[in-house]
Amino acid sequence: MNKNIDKSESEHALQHFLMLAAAQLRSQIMRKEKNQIYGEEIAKLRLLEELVKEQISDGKKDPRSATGSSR
Amino acid sequence: MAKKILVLQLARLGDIYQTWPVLRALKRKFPESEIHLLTRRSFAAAATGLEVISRHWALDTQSIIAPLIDEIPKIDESLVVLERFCQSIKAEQFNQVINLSFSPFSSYLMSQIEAGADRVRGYTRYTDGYLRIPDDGSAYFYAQVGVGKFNRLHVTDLFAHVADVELQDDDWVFPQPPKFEREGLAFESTDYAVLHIGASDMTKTLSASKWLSIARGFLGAWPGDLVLVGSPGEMQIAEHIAAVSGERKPINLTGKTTLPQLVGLIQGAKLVIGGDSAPVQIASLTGTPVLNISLPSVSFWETGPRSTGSRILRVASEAEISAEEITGEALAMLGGRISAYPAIRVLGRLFPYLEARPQAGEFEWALLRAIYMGEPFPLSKDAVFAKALGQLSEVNQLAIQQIASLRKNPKNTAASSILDRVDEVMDHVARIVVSAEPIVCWFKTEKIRIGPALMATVIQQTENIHIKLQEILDLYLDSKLQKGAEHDDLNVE
Repeated sequence: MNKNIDKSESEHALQHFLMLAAAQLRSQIMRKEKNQIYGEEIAKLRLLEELVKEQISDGKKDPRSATGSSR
Repeated sequence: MAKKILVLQLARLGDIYQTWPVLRALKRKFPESEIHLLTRRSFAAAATGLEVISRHWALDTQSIIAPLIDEIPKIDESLVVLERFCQSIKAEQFNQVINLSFSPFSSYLMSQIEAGADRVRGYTRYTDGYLRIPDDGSAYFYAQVGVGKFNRLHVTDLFAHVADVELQDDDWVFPQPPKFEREGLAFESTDYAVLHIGASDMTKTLSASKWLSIARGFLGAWPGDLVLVGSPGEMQIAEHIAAVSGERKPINLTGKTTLPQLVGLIQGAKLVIGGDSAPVQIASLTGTPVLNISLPSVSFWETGPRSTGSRILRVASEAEISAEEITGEALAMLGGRISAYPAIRVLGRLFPYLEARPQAGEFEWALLRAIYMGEPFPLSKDAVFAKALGQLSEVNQLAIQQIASLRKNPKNTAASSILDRVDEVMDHVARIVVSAEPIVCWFKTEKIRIGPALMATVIQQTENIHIKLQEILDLYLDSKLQKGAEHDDLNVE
């Protein structure tokens, strides 16, 4: 039982840090997108952001769910 | 120098196993090529035994995100780890890069590693960050696949389409000798069925109490053993089932097998019973018959079993079928008897569900085949569908007019905003009249596929898609396809 509580607490802490990281990444991306055109730097930040978002959703989201917008 | 092909499969275990036949077909098509496979490290064991792979790359998510697990996330450190990983892949100079993952992350990763490849298939990104869908197979996946959509093709066939390969029956095999990993298990039985109680999402499987009744009924009627399998997260439920079953107890190996051991177990089993999960996909490769209980959160025709002799019990909810009925069906399969329940039978690994497509959505599926596969457009006498297409046509013609004014003046903001509204109206129509959805989803996806270019080119390409849409709409609106029977000369279904 204690083991489960420990596990749940550590998962909760992990989610906290991931959400914090996701918020900082989003803020960096928005700042950069305001001041420069899309390029390598933003692409890498977006890549990391998507990886973090996947960890937050923890597999609950359909892994085949990319969305896009038209020009 | 041998050509190199990289295949990304960054989804879960089930999708990796569903990729095996595609990799075999790829090797057959390019026998001299080195094929590399990229999966997540946590699912890397699902590539064990895959003999056509020259190198297996594992994405180590934990090492990338580790610097972020701090009150002050070290984003730069994470980026360095990620960059190192991307560079090591890029250094291989792949000739082909194929993404079978369909996730946003995989599309951004592709854009980092595909540079220099002659052939790119699967989601990636344009230089301006927009989603790029380079091949028709992926465009079909984007527009038409998923729960609530009208696709009727299996995911493995769709993967094959994206990779541009033809599958054949012997692409679904596990390497010999059989039962290659059973030795590590304290388990001697040769006459047993495997029961998997879990799934990646619990809406895809039955409740613990239902599985308990099934296990009890099964062991009361069948002389062989019943082996419970699953992940460590499913151990508690499995222990409960194992403890309170009847006089004969199941053998509980839940959380105690490695993935290769699980493969060995499934390979030697007489039957696998379970919801929509990785063991079902493994059984498709080992040729083990499956009794698949298919709930509405999944589409069996997309991810169901393909091993010959499998049966699928499609139910709207678990209350719709009793434990006795499921047990009876399992016993009927083991005894070689016909089904007492209206089960869907899998007749062969190739095109497994041709006789069992769901009746609902038949018109929409025919519409998809017409749009994507060049088959005749289906007849419709549905007045609501006709009205929806009339509305789509009206707004589409308005869009074509706006595009003409944009061509004269690309800064015409009123025209741009009307075009945005047109897309919203089309979405709305598709939501209300679902039979029109395949057409709208096709149209929207084709617009997404337009890449960065001079404004005049983007305008031209957008107009071309609206014109193509109008051609489809006119097929119905000129009434030939709606009067059907009065036009026997038409080449339509």
